[in-house]
Amino acid sequence: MKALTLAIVLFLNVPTLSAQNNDTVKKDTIYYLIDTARTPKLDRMFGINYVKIAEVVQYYIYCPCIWPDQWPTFIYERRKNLSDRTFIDSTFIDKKALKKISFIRLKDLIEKACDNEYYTFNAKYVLFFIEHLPNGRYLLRKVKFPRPTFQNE
Amino acid sequence: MQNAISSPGKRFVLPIIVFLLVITNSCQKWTPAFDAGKINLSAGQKVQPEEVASWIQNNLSPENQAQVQLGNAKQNVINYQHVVRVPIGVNAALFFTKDNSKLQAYAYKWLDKKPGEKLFTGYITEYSFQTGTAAEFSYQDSKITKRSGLMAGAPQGLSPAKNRKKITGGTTRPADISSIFSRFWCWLTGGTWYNGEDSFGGAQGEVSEGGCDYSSIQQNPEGGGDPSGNYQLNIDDSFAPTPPSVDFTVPPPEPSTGWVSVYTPPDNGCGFDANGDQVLTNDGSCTGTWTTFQVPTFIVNVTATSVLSNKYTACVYNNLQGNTEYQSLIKGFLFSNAYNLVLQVGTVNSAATGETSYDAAKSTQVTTTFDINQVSNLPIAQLAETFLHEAYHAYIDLILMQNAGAGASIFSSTYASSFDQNIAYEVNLAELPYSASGTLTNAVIQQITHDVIAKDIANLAAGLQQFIETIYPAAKNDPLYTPTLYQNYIWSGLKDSQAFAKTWGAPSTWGTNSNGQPNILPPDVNTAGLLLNQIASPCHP
Repeated sequence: MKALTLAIVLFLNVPTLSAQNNDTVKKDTIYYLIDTARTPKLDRMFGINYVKIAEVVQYYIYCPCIWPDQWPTFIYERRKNLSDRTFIDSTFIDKKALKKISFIRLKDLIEKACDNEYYTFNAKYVLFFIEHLPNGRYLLRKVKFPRPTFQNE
Repeated sequence: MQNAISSPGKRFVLPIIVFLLVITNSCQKWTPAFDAGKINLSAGQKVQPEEVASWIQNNLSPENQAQVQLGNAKQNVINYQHVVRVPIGVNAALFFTKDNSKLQAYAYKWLDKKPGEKLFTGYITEYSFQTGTAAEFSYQDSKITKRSGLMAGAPQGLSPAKNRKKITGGTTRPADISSIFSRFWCWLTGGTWYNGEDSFGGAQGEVSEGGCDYSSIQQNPEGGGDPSGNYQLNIDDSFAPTPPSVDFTVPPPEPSTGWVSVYTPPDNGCGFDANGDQVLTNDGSCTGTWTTFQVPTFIVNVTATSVLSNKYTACVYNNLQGNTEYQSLIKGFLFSNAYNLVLQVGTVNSAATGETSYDAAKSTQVTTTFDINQVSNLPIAQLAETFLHEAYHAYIDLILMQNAGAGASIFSSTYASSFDQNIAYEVNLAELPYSASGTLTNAVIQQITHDVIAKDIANLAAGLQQFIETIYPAAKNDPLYTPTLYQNYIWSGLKDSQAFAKTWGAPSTWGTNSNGQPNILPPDVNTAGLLLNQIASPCHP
């Protein structure tokens, strides 16, 4: 079990190290825990939409802070390779590993998403969502903050 | 400030009108009776029957007058201009209209290479009796692909501002103007011109003065011309309205993409008049030469912060060099000495990925700026879509500059009117609730422009498809990547257009996501974005 936990912690650190190597500016790694099961339905700020044909999961924060009245939307692309349709293996973490992670508050995540352009956000941060699944497992996903879709050209 | 339709712009108003006539003949409400009283315009704008009759009597020879089919005259009001059409042959007609209460007369001949198709492909040749000049317009799918003098391929003939050629007799034979016009008329009406010295000459040793031979054509019930309009199509498919006495029918080297053939007459006495303008013909002995030049790849101005010095935009731009749609959109600039398109990477004033602006001060320059903050962050499909989308803006600006005239006024209160008059073949604004008067905000100008683009969305989508299949060939055989998918992707850049609302309905009809929240995009547009944005970029790390 220790070995598994260690492996997971190492895994969690890899993106940070990788980001440091690829970019001259150090990126902060942010983790946010999505735990809709424990949030009363009327208080839920997060929406999750799976578009199967594209194999993409969209995460919305229902805060219309991006002009014009648009929610910050993050995406997770399940495909590792488009050509041969290979998928990224799902990464689950256990509760012990979870306790070692410092999560950002929703309020702060909203501020970061709303106060930055998508490209400055991506230049500053590497974002992971951890979903608390109904079966009790925790699913880790690295997400992107793409260009808002409702901005005209 | 200049008028919306400046002097050079007027030259193109009638070609546009006749183009509309040609392509929309079947659905235009032409009034058969030649009765200006039914036209709801001011007296100064109406063409009166007696004016037309008088003009014909004063300007045409008795023989030519006999070919004018006044009985078949028809009229219409197009973009606030009263236009009277009088056939003189098949696919040939005189057109009369008014400009500042003054009668304007033009002769037109056209060839529809794809009859029955919605978009016009073919040729239109125009002769202005006011200026004695002629111009030829080539259309491909309702877009002008080439403007040139009547002498196709003449030097400078690719410049829209300079491409009208005087039909004169040249310095050596100044008295030949009527003869030259006779030849043009002969061609218009479907005949074949013969010289005095050749076999068509007079009998029994008499010296013939030349003339028009109609014996080889089949008369049709309407009175003249052969069914093809007697257009001569050279083997390279270029168009040459050729009086047979001039030897520029020698087919030029077959041009291919990026090459242009230029005709050069042998000497000044043959090919130029006293003003240095190239003439159509003189004594029939000219034998010029065709030379093929390669069109420089980057005639467009490229600034220091240009697309080529940025690895992301340079990569996309280079992959668009063989892209049919993109090249078609910027062709007007590539083949123009008069107008420049500057492609640059820089700061954009909005959240857009790129913006295209017309420089009213320079009045011949259109600038597209790609947002320096976004080019490295965008999916490759989105950056390519931005190139295509902005190229369309530049294309529209070019048409407006050429047809509505330069200066700030084309983007002022008359803008909607300019659109209606000059690119009405792309969009019929009457179908949309835009006002043709009143000051337009930038947002509305953009909205109108996006409606124009939406009208041609299939072509833009084809351009994007071609690009994607260039960088990701597997998409060709992928059932997910359909033409509709590319169209849906293009729609994401046209969300403010009225066509978007018409096509996709109100947001309340877009359904809800799996959380029961309303979708922020039509699901098909959303899916198109998610799918195409996954395509890996050969340009980005």
